[in-house]
Order: sequence, then structure tokens, then C-alpha cells
Amino acid sequence: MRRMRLSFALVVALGAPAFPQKSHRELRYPPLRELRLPQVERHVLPNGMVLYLVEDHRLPIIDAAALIRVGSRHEPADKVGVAEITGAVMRTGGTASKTGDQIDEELESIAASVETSIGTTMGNASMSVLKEDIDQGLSALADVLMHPAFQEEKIELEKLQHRTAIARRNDDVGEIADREFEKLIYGAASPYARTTEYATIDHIQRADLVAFHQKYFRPNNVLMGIWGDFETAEMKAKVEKAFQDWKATPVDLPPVPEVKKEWKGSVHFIRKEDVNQTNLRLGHVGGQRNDADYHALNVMGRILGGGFSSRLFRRVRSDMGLAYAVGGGWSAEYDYPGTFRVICNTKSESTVAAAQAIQAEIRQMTAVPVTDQELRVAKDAILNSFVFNFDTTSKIVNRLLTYEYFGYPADYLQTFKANVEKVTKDDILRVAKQYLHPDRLVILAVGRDKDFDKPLNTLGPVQTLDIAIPEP
Amino acid sequence: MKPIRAWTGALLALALAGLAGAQDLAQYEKQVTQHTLKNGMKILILERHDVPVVSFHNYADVGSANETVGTTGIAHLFEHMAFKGTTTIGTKNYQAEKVALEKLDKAYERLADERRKGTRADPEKLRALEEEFKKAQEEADKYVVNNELGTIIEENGGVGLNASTGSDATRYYFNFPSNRLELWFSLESERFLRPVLREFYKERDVVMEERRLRTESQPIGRLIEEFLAVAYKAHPYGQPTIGHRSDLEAITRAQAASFFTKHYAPQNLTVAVVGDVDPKEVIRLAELYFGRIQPGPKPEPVSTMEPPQEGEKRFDVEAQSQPILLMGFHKPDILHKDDAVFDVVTGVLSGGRSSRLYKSLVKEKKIAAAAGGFPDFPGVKYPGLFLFFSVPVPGQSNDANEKAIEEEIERLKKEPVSEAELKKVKNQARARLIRQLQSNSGMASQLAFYQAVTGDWRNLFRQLEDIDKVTADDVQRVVQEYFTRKNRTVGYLIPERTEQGGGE
Repeated sequence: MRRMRLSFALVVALGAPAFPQKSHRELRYPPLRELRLPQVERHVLPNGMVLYLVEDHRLPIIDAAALIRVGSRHEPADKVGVAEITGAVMRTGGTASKTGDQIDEELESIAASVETSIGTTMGNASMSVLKEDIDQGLSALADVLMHPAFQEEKIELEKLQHRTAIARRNDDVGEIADREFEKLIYGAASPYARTTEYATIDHIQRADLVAFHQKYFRPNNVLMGIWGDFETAEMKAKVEKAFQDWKATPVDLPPVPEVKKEWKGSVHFIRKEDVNQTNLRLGHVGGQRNDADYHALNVMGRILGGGFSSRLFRRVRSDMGLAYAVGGGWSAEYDYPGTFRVICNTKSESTVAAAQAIQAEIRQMTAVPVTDQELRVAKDAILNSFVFNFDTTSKIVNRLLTYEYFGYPADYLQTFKANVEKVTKDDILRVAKQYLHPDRLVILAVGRDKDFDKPLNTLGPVQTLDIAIPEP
Repeated sequence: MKPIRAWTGALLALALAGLAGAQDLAQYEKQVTQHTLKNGMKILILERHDVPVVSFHNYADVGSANETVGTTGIAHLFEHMAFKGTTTIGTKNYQAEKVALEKLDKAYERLADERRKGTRADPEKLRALEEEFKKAQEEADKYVVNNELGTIIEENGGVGLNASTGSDATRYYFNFPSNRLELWFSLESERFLRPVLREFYKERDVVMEERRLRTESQPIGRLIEEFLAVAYKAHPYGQPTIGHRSDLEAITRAQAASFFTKHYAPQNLTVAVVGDVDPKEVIRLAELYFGRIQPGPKPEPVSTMEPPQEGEKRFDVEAQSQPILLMGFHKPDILHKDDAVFDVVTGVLSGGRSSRLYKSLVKEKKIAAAAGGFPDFPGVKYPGLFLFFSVPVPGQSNDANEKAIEEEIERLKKEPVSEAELKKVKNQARARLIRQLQSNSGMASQLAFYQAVTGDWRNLFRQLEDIDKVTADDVQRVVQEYFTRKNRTVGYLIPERTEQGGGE
């Protein structure tokens, strides 16, 4: 009896009996199993094309991605749109031997896809096939890259797509805010912000597309990655054969356009009468991924505006209930300065209050060190989720292609990780002070000013922007 | 999707043998383990050890279709509350917080009572009650550890953290490195074992911002909300998932709590775990953590059915926008024998640049920038709509686009589709499934969906078989039966009219 009582007392003294279910505070984790990275082979074909090959036999699929050294940033200002239209019509406008419609029919009947496009900083081509259809897929991919026919009818069709986009570009308030904010950051005429207009589309002729393609689409200007259910040696031979008639030709790449780095605070307004919510954008020009401080800026941006644990989410969304969408950070680019930006959608009646709350959070970042807890959470979030950089073969191959394209070392990501581990609170404060300019922000509000809580000029002198679409 | 049948392994292999790549699919089927807890909760596990990561998908069989008059938006609002923590997560002192929250509820009730008086409300009293409510809120906020649940997930390497609410279901999902398996069980079971609906009234404001973002300040959002309201007069598919504005303004914390009790019993939850896990361990953890949740009442089924339509319905939404056209036809739910036929119809009309609508409206007639159709709008659990859309190019009208879509429908009624077209659609369905298998999170979502909605996850694979059996006659019959003028709703988004100009 006494013994029983004693044991009872012991249990009481030691606290409640441990539950087999553990709370997050009690759990400890084994080290993550080592990652088995797939074998990557890199070849340079006789015609100069760079080829990455990765076998992945889990599913009967083969995928390809190619990067071409080209971009809309190299197109002439009076023909804005020529790069994008070239990229689209290479695929839709047929080849020397097949019409675009034939290619559509053939690929879709085997559930395959081949696509091409040209964005701001690069051209892209892709292919996806069931493995038994690899010859057909590869031959279509080679055909559109090497011998596009640019059928007039498909050029007109693509121009019509652009005219539709222009006509509709002021229908969606978020689209307006994103587009006009870029123009404010980089300048309306900058290759990183300019938009197509009816006039620039009208200027574009078939000859422009042919010339644009001729100039940039050369095998020595292409990086290709193929992954999936194949044998490497066999695939290498197939690719060599498919592209053997494509001859190396020197490509004269224009220099990367400069971005003017200036920080002049300004407030801008675009009136949109049919909304009850303001789209806010705040920020200024930022930096590149190869800047010495990028890793610290990345952690800083995360603490400020990335995810559930960030200050902006906590303050503007959870504490104040002012927004569903709020967040942002230091979004860097590979070879030109990116943007430091915060976005927020808030009801018209809290426009100025939300903008001020955001500005205050940015200012706070430059004034006071972050807490130990904030730093730990942000670093842990990056480091513990690191494995997700490798969870698909597609991610692994595309990253290698991208790094080589922009001249980054192949182990860039590993270096980045090592640098994140080293970031201190002092680093965060230092980079915030050096790179953030809370009192020289570009602020854009798109909405219905009649309903604003306070006049927008509470934030500074306001310039009202006209976004009327120039008539064709 | 056909109703569930019991297939033996051998029959299955035989049925799939005709399809290239079928072995790979059958192989995947064998890697799925199923387990049901005593409390009724279902667990599906797909083992894949290539990368040490794991995806989780928790499918709650409750959506906006389960909402009643006056509380639209409550399913989605609860989804937001499920990120606010528990009695042990998100609080500095739950005992004290609980008292503060009860006070807050009472303060809110008093304020709401006075507000309900409308013009007869006493302004003085309103001000005092508002002040009292504000104070109670501040008091309750003192105990809150802001976004602790989300923070724990993020600092442990969780990615893709989110949830979604639709007409049929509420889904909670994210991915962890696989050494955090037990953490997911701990967090997710706590979340539905002892949720605390803290910061409720502020989160209601956040949801109101979401409504402004997606619907009120968005012409297409307004068109879609109107479309459902016009197409349905009885069934709750006609209600907006985000909720009517006045309902969102009126829903109380107590109502959200009672919605939870009613709809989040464990037999209403289906969990899928896909990735680098040992099924035995997953089942052990499921028993240990989710086994704590007591079985709850079976939620009342939705008994309202949409009666057959009496004639074509048509409406305009005026907005500062270029035109857009929607056209929808009532159709049966996912368990109906014609479900696979609708999948084929979708492929014929709307599967890529060689599909009929794209070919006709975009490539040939050049009247649309995009055109297509969806077979499952807004859901599949109850009879939904087959929805056509078209985006006219400048200078072209909704009218011309509507006629062009009608032509394609008429063509399907008159001429059987070719064997080549059928084959193409079937190939695409198979390839789509194979490509889906690449993604852990995609598979988690699909397995949970098929289990919860059709009663058997195997139907994810079985659907191919059903699609494969569809004939040209089936397509013709289904189009003739359902795509009729009487059964359709047509909605136009049109640029605002100026009244002085006499209309147009």
C-alpha cells in the first residue's frame, strides 16, 4: 500500500505521465537521409550545342528544355513584340516541311508537346513525350528550332493575340498595378518594363521574324537538357543526328541593357472607378543574385515579407486585418538589377493606413536588428526546405541550364546555402540600411480615390498616371 | 466515373494490359496502402523513396455546398481559422485566453444586436458597444502568439503551405522533408482535435479583402458569381464559396465553431501521404495521433436537388471590361455513367490547338483569343455544369462567339466524332495520368479526392478504363441529351452601357 502511494507520488512529482503523442516542442528529428542525386552528363556537340542528359526511369516519359541566348530586351524599341511573336510563331507557323496545323495535330494525337517562346532575358524551347514517341518529338523540336516557316497567317493570328492583350490590359486591376509599377521602377521605355502597343505590333513584318530567328537561333547559342526514361549514349546519338544539319555560326550578342539605379521617392496614382479595393505597390530598384550580399538580403526579405512568419503578414494581415494579399521581399535577377517590392491589396477605405503600415515596417527593418527568433526561423526555413530544390529531375536540369546560361558556377546553390548559414543579425541590419530606402520608395496606388481613408498626398506629392490605351 | 466495382488484381491487369505504359500504372497502384481508423478517418499512402520528401493532403468532405442560408462563406472562413492554432499552439496562456475569448463573443453579440436594429439603433449605445468590443479584442489579442502554426511549419522546412475551399471540399496541404513525418501528424491532428478560433473577427476582415480581390474588384469574378446564381435556383452550388458580403459581415465565432463540430468529424476526413515514408510507420502514427479524435455525428446530407430547368436563362454583367462569354449546361455528378463521356467531350472540344473550339473560334474564324470548356463547374459531388467560355478578340462580339460555339455543338450532335479524334483524346487522358504521377503533391491530392468523392482511390486509375470504353455513339448521345437550349445558361460580360445613349 505504501509503495503504491509512493509510486503515485512519484508520478505526480515528475509531472503528468508522458503522452505517447508528442507536441512539436518535444519532437526531435533524425538527420535527413542523404540525397541520391541523379547522374548528370554534360556534352558539347560538334556544332557547339551544349547538352545535359539525365536518366530517370521512374516513368515512361522524356522531357527536354532548351535555353537560347536571346531575349525581348534585344529587340528594337519601334518593334516591341518582335521577340515574343518570333518565339510563338516558330512553333505555330509551321516548318519547311509541315504546316503549324499539321504539327498541332501530330503532336496532340500522341499526347506530346513541343513549345517555343522568347521572354525578356532568354528564349525557351521544350518537349514532352511518352518514351515510345521520342523520335517524333525530337524531330519536331529540331524542326521548329532550325527551320521555322513563319506562315503569314499564323503571324497575323499571333498579332491578333497581342492586340487582344492590349485591348484588355486595363480590365484587371492587379495587372495594371504590376505593369505600371515595373515602368516606374525601370522607366517606361526600358527593355525591362516596356509594353507592346498597337503601333509596335503593326510595324512587325514577317521579314523581322525571319531575321530575328536567323540572328540568334544557332546551335552554339543553345543549351539543351533532356531527362527521362532513356539510355544516355543512345539519346546523345539521337540528339546529334537530329541537329546535325545545324551549323555553328558566330552570334553577335548585344550587351545586356543597363538599368539606371536611382532612388527618388515618388507617389503615383491610377484611377479605377469600378473597384472597392486598392492595389498598392511599394519598392525600388534592387540587385542581382551574384551580389556579395544577396544571401543576407534574401533572409532579410523573408523576415520582412515572405510567408506566414513574416512581419508584413503578421502586422498588415493578421493584426490589422487590412489585407488578404500582402508580402514581398528582395527579388533579385541573374544579370540585371531586380526589384525590392511589397504588394498589398486593401479596401479603398484603408489605402493610406496600409501604405503607412508597410512603410513603417520597411523603416523598422533599417533601424533595429531583427530578433534571434526571426533570424532563426528565416534561416531554418531556407535550410530545412533545401531538399525541395532537388525533388524533381526537372528542377535539377533546369537549374544547371540556367546557371550556365547566366555564367553562374554550377555549385552556386551550394555556396548560397553555406552563406545563408553564416548570416547574422548584424548582417541583416547592415544590408537593410545599405540597400533599403524606406523614405525614397516608389509608391503606386491603383483604385478609387473618392473612398480613400485619407488623401493619397498624405504619403507625398502625387502624380496621377494616364493609362489610356493609344488607339490603333 | 462509374460507380465502384470490385475488381480483382488479375482482372485489373487484364483490363489495363491493352494500354502501353499500363504496367507502370499498375505498378503504382500496388504501391498504395489504405487504412481506416476506428473513428472512420481514412489514410492513403503512396510510397516513393527517390527523394527524402513527403507530401500531405488532408481532404475534408465539406464545402460551400454544405452551407445554409445566412452563413454562406463559413466553410472557407473556417479554413482560414484552421491556421490560427490550437489550445497549445498560438497561445501564451490558453486558460486566460479562453476567458477573454468568451468575453469577446459576448461583446460582439451585444454589438451585433444593436447593429441589427439598423436605423433604429441608438448611436450613443453603438459607440459604447463598439468601444467595449474593441477593448475585448485587445484583451484577447494579448494571449496570441501570431501565426505560430505557420511558423512551425515553415521553420521545419515545410513548403507549399496552403489550403483551399470549393463547393465540394476543403483541402489542407503542404510538403515536408521526410524526417518531419511525425511533426505533420502532431500538428495536423492537434489542428482538428482542439482548434481555437482566435482572431476570428480580424480574419473575417481578411476574408472580406479576399472577396474584394477575387470578386468585387474583378469583372470576371463578378461574372462567375452571377453565373452560378442564375444557373441554380435550388441547389447550393449557386452560392458563392467566398460568401455573400452580408453573410460574411454577420457570421459569428460560435457559428464557425458549430460548423466545425458538425463537419469535421474524423469520418469526414481523408488523408493522403505520398513520398519517402514507410506505410507501417504512417499507420502507427495515424493511429497514435488521429486516433485521439472521437467519432462525431454524421453530417446531414445535402438533400436539395436542382430541378430540371424550365427554359434557357440569360443575363448580362456590365463592367469596365472587354466582353467575355460563358455558357453552361446542367450535367450529372461524377458517379453517373456518363461522366467519362463528358471527359471525352471535353477533350474533343477543348484539349489543345487541334481541338474543335480552338480550331474553329481561334484559328479559323479568328473571333476569339481563347475558347474552351470545363466539365466540372463548380464541383463534381453533385450535378454541376459543363461550362463553355470564350474571350472575343477586339471588334468581335459575344454574340458571334456564342453562335460559333453553338455550331460546334450542333456538329457534334449531327456527325459522329472520328476514330482518330477519339483515339487522340484517350491517349491524352492516359498521358495526363502518367504525368500526374511525377508529382508527390499532385498524387496526394488525386488519391484523397478519388477516395473521398467516389469511395475508392482506385478510380483514379479506373477512370482511364471508362474513358477508353467511350464510343462515338456515346459522345453523340450525351451531347444531344444535355447540350440543349432549354438546359443552358448564357452569361455575357459586357462593357458598361451609358444610359443617355439609349442602351448600347
